[in-house]
Amino acid sequence: MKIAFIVLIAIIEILAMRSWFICNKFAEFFHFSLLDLSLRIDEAVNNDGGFSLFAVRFFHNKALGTFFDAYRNLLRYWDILFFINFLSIAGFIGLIFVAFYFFQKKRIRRYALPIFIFVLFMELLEIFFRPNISFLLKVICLFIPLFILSLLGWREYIGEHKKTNIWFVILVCVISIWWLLLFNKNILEYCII
Amino acid sequence: MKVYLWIFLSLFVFVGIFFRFLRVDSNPPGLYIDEVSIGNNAYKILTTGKDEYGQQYPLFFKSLGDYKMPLYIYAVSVSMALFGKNEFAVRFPAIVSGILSIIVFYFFIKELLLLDKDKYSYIYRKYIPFLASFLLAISSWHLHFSRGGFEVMSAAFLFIVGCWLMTLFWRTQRLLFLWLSYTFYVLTIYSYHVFRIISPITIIALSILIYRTFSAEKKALFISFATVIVLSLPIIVFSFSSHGLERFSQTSAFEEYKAEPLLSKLKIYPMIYVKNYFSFYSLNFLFGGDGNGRHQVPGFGLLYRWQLPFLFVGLFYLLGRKGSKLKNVAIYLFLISPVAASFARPSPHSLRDLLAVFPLVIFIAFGLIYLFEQCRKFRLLAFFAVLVIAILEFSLYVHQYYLHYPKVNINDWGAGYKEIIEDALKYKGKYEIVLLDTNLENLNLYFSFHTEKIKPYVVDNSWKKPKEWTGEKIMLIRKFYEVNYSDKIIHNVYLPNANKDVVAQFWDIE
Repeated sequence: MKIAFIVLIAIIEILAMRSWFICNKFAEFFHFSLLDLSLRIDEAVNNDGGFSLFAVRFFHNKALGTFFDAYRNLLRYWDILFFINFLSIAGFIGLIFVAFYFFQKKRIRRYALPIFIFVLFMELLEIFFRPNISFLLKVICLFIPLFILSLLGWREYIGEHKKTNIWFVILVCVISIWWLLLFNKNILEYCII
Repeated sequence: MKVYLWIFLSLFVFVGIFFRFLRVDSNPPGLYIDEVSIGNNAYKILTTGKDEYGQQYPLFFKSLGDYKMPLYIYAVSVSMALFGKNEFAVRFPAIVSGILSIIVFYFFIKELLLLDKDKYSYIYRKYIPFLASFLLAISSWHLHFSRGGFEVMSAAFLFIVGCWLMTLFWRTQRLLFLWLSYTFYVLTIYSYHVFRIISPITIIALSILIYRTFSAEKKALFISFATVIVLSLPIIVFSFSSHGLERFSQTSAFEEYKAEPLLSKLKIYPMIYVKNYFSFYSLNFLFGGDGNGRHQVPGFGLLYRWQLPFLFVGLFYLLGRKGSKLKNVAIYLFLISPVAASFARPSPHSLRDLLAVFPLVIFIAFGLIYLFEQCRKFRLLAFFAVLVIAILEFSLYVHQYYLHYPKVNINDWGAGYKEIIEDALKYKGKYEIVLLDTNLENLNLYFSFHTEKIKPYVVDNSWKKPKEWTGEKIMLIRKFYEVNYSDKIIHNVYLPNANKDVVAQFWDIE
């Protein structure tokens, strides 16, 4: 039963990822733009008329701006709605489980931490450098580690909660499939065809 | 409580007071239309006992196509009696609610930790209430909405008072606290729309819990619940009337699909709700805001960036605490806050979800203490690192909010309407009649609020001068349509921003 549920969830996540095959690249808000940053700093400095140069440069500079922009770009990759559209609702809930067990079990930390660091590295690479490789390859490289994390979370949850889990898993699967059928075009908010 | 702990609490409250009162009459820069409507109604109630439509002490205020809840408007009436008819008076009840929330929140968390005495170590029981109330005092989300005439602030305050009183009942079993708690929950329903759903759910959930836990108090519970029903009757009747449903139809998230057949609606509506509900937990929303210029400072979200790791650590740490009442309350508040707002658009919406700030600061406080506890060797270094980063980001926020925001976001707050009125008053002696271009939306309401010396007429392009006005000197206040040169233009009104944009022009028409 446990394996059957995990296989079902895996299929749903793969179907969610499959809908990304129509895209050519990630939307612009996933990437850092030096031009955008420069224009915003210019505007902010313009509004700071009458202040000392030190104060103006302390509050408005490219170092801080780069950090804030990259932070914002990175949060886009960890956004709940992005995960739901990338991995399905079931996949996202799996990530919640793995985050929960990350703090409870050393064994999970041992597996999840390197995968998490790898995902972070991939995302930062995409944010700053936009590697000139096939978008499909990028999606698969991002999907596989998140897919593994999600299934790890589900495996722990189903293993620990035997009585209530059957109905909860079925409910999550139904809602995930329902979402995929209704909102499969939502990915166009996150990618460009 | 030890003296130094009282000093810390007073300091946090002082920080809250300082940043909430600082230049509140001029930042936000001008009143937005809802504040003007509240102010006009409050002033009418204060001076005549009637609203704008002549209703005597109404329970629901008709305003700009929908109905406003009464509590905040009556509070503004009291505020106007003290401070006069001005921006400060309109915002004062929200400021006071924000400040008192800091104090009540401290005692609320303390009570919860008393109920969970054996669940948390000494370090948590000592520092969490302070940390949580301090985080609330400096919270950009809470601070921002404490400084505008937002009804949600008073509602959130009353809700937290209700929660605190409930924890007092739970610990002492004194029935007065139960009754007071329910009364405050009912008051929230008369304060802001979203609590028309949140508070009844909370009351029902609490009643079931109390019924199961305190078998001796069933009679008292029944009386309290009956009192709630009686006090809520006017709002229940109103909610199901056509007036009551107006607000819902204006902001409904399902409006686009109204014409669909029933089966399609059954397919679509739940998923729209699920999508909206999840959007309130989006990191982009929490750390980037909802995109509404009135709800946030550009470049900042609802939480500070440095709080992100502590938020997750605290949340998952608390989730692992079995049987903790504090955990249950925090998770309940975290899950219930977007329940009503998810029915509306746009979603997410930081105003309607304000209740979520309380559980979020609890998670962050726990995350901070947990991580400091874990890194024993580098505790001092970690503390100073976090402190420096927090001060840096807070100073950036303060700079952005108090210096840039009034200039950059002026269009979100009445877009220079006050400047138009101040300039118009200078020309009052020369012109007997003042006309307003209908494209300067609601400017006539701003005139009612800011001055009684000019009673303008609202006109559109088809307006023609009546015969009885022959010989009268007439001034038209017109939206700027890129006409820079005309001998009829007597004055340009400029926005007080860096670009000095022209917002309106005064035309002499005969």
